[in-house]
Amino acid sequence: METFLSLLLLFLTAAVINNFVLINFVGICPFLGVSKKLSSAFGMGLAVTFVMTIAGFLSWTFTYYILRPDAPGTVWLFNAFGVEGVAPNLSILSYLVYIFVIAASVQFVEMYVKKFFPPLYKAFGVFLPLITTNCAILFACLEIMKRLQDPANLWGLTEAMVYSVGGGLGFTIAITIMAGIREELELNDIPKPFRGVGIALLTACILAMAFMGFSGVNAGLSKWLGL
Amino acid sequence: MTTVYVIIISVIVLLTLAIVLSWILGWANVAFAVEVDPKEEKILSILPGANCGACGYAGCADLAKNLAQGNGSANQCTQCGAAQVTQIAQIMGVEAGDVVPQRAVVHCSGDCDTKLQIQNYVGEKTCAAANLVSGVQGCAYGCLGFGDCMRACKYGAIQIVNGMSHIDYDKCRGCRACEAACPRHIISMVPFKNGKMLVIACSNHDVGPEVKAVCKTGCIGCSGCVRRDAEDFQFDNGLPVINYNSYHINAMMQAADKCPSKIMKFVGPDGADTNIEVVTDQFKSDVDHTEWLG
Repeated sequence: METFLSLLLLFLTAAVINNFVLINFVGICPFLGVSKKLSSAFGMGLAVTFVMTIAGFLSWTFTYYILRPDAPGTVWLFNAFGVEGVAPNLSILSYLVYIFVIAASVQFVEMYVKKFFPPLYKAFGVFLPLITTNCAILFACLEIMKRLQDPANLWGLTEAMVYSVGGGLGFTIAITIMAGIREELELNDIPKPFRGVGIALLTACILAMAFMGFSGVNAGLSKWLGL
Repeated sequence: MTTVYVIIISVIVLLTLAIVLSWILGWANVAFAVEVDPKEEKILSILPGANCGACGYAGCADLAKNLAQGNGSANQCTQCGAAQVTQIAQIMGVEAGDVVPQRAVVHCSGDCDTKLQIQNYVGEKTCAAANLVSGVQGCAYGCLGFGDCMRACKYGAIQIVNGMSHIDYDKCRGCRACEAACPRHIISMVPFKNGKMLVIACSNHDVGPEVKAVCKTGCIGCSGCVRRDAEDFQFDNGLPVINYNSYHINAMMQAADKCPSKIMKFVGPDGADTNIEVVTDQFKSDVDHTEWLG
């Protein structure tokens, strides 16, 4: 029960309390670029969630076995080469490996979806390859890497997956709210200097301030749940 | 020495990763290959690539896909000339059919001199906004003249002259953007069989006296044209409608001449003739290329 509650809290933290877009300010480009129409914004959100789940899984796997300090794979390699006097640590490679692995996996998934699920491929369209270079994805990977540094308090695969799915859904929530507001804004009489990107940024700012209301809720919740 | 080993280990890790991933991707490329119809690519290379959407599909690629599967007709693209349609029909393996370009016409002729202006409208200068409030002008059907169609046109073919939208037929390519933009739906597409085509330049469905009260050039609905020529004209809700499927040129010229309100107008590119059919096909050489020509 306690594990379930802590996972739920982790999910809420990633999705709402520490929302990727509105609190951490990553993934701003699609947030502003694809939020003009509700339907395409929702599609983008789901595509990001999809890619983020895959990226979270891969980054946890690679970090856990190779890229963190004293990772089993690294220790084995260092022993095989007979390296002594340095701590086995390949975390310097993490950025390279993440970008490499995510790009390749998205490419693979795209080909798979194109072959076996053509309607889904048509719905994702150009978004899928674009998301590969999204900073929100890299942010999720780096956050997972951060939680794998301290050997006493490691994230398991479950935590990493819950975190990345939550982050993706948080992105979906943020971009969908934004698209809904922007669709309504189209009908309004906006003062000339604010038209276009200006009012979009102001809207994002007010949204971010609204989400700031959640700050600290996770600490209170964990206290209340006795975690 | 240890640093060198660490570098070598890093290189090995990355190289292994690169080899494994590229092997997987290479395998997937073959295993998940989707066969693209070669017809589709050929048709796409012929289409203009403007993605205007006038054909009813989401862009040229979508149209090419549907044409390759045999849906739609070869002359569906409004921007393609006779040469392109013939090529597409060859690829599809069907007859080309008639290539009649569709062009936009404005069913109104009321400019600032002829239409009744009730009040000075100071709201937002778009037709969509002005159409929501009453009393901008007397005629509740006619052109508002704020230029929504002009802004919608990608080819710069529409100008607002004296409160009335005018189409430049040298530039119009029949993409239907203006038809969708007009809040009063007074722009429609007409098949340009001849150089200049006759259009009913009024959209007012009201009866004669009410029309005359708001516009000097409105259709009074006398239905004289319909009585003279029931084949080419139909009377619908207070206005004559031209049947462009028949369209006899002599009857049209007579109707335009006899119309008491002079609301029938020939529109088309400058210098084009009203009764000469447009030659849309390419010139063909009568030289027989199967012979040896010396």
